[in-house]
Amino acid sequence: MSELSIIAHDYALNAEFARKFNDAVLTLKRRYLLGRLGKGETDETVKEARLDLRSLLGSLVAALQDEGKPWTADQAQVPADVLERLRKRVKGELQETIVELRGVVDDLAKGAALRGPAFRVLDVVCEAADATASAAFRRLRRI
Amino acid sequence: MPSLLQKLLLDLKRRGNWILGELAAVEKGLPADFNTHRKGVAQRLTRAVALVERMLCDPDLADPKLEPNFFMDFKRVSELIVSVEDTSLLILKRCSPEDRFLTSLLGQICREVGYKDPPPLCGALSFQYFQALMETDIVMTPQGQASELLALPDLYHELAHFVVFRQRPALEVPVLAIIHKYFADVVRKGRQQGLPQATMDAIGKSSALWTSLWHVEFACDMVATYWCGPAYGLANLRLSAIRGDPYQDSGTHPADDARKTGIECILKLAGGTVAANEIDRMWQDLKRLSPSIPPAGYVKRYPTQLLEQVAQCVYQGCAGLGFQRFSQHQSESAIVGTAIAQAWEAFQRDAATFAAYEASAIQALRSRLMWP
Repeated sequence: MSELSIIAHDYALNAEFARKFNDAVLTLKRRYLLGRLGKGETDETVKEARLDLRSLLGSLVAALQDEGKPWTADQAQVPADVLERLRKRVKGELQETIVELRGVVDDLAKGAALRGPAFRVLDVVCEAADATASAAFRRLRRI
Repeated sequence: MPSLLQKLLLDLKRRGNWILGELAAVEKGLPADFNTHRKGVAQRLTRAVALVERMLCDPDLADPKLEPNFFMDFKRVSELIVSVEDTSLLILKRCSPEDRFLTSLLGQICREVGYKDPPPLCGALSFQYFQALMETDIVMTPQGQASELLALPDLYHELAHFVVFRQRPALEVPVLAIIHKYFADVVRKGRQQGLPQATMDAIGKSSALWTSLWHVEFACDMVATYWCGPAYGLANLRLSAIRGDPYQDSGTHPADDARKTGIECILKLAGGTVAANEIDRMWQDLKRLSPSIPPAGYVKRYPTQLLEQVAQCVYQGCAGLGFQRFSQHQSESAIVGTAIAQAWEAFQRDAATFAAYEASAIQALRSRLMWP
């Protein structure tokens, strides 16, 4: 009813997205950039991280290029604030960013290893999601 | 030499463990519902501290390629710890008679409406009206709520926030699909008609407000009405009278006048047309008292057709989730729902003597819920 309830709702959505996206990227970075698995991680963990990331990225790409296309329920995975922040962050390079993200989705679909450039664009998304969650938290706790 | 991130993680672990110690220390003497919340929070915090410990032991923590991602994990855990300290721990330590009564009341509401998760903990500690805090499963109310009945329908709205968040596929996503389709059609028709750019921009702004946060507030109002019935509409009118301009909106909240329309849509779908009309009559009276007039573009910003579609969707979502509609409540078992409905009837019948009625009804509720 108060503004705090809706901000809490917003924070919970943004934090959940940031956490899921970052967890998948962290697992895959370790696997493909450092060439090893973390303690307790297995090939199955990597497979799950690839699936999670593919799903989240697929929704993100669909939402970023939604101009004129019908909205799909899948896009609801990506909080509106994250989209807005990401659009502002990449500004004039939105189309190039979409192409790069789509390339990562294709690599994940093909089962291909991810390379440095893939992680550069994934880091941009991680940063946008993290900054959005942090901003929502500051609004929520008034800090 | 530990890195900055290691030091921050060590500090976080210390704070997490301190709160875990406090949570353990408050266990003795807590009522069962408070203890259920305490255990849940302690389990979550234990997992969070374990994650911090895993990060501290991770040989790749200082790797420049991974360190920023570990730092993001640090921030999410920090946010959890601050939230638990500011909300759960505060209410558990205080555990005042008001907090206990309101938590019992909310638990009873959960049972009456068919809410399936553990009931949130409730504390009368808010300085910003009612609040639902999703991350920690807490509802905060103003100080006086343990002694009042007329604003209690707002508890249903706060509870609805948890449902709309957790049941996204059943409630929020279908609502968003309706809103996106509605505005896509409006934009398409606008282009065909060659509407001026300023009008198209206004449509775009309305669409963004609806799809960003307004849909959540509308959906929560509608779920609350599904559960609580006409009393929710009356409480909304009472709150709107305090808030002032019924046409004022913000980035987070739609206008009260539009919210009232959404509430009426649900009442009508549930067969409460007479109640909806009565609330509308009172609303017209409220507007007579208020000098406000709808701003330009108001009708297009809050299309009745869209509100009706959203209400239909929420109504079906609530039915699909197995929630109890207000008109299905049995007065013997729906203790709180019945008490609230009767309180509003008593208030409308004789507002002058309502204070005495309310004091007696609250006492009866306390007796039934606290010492059954």
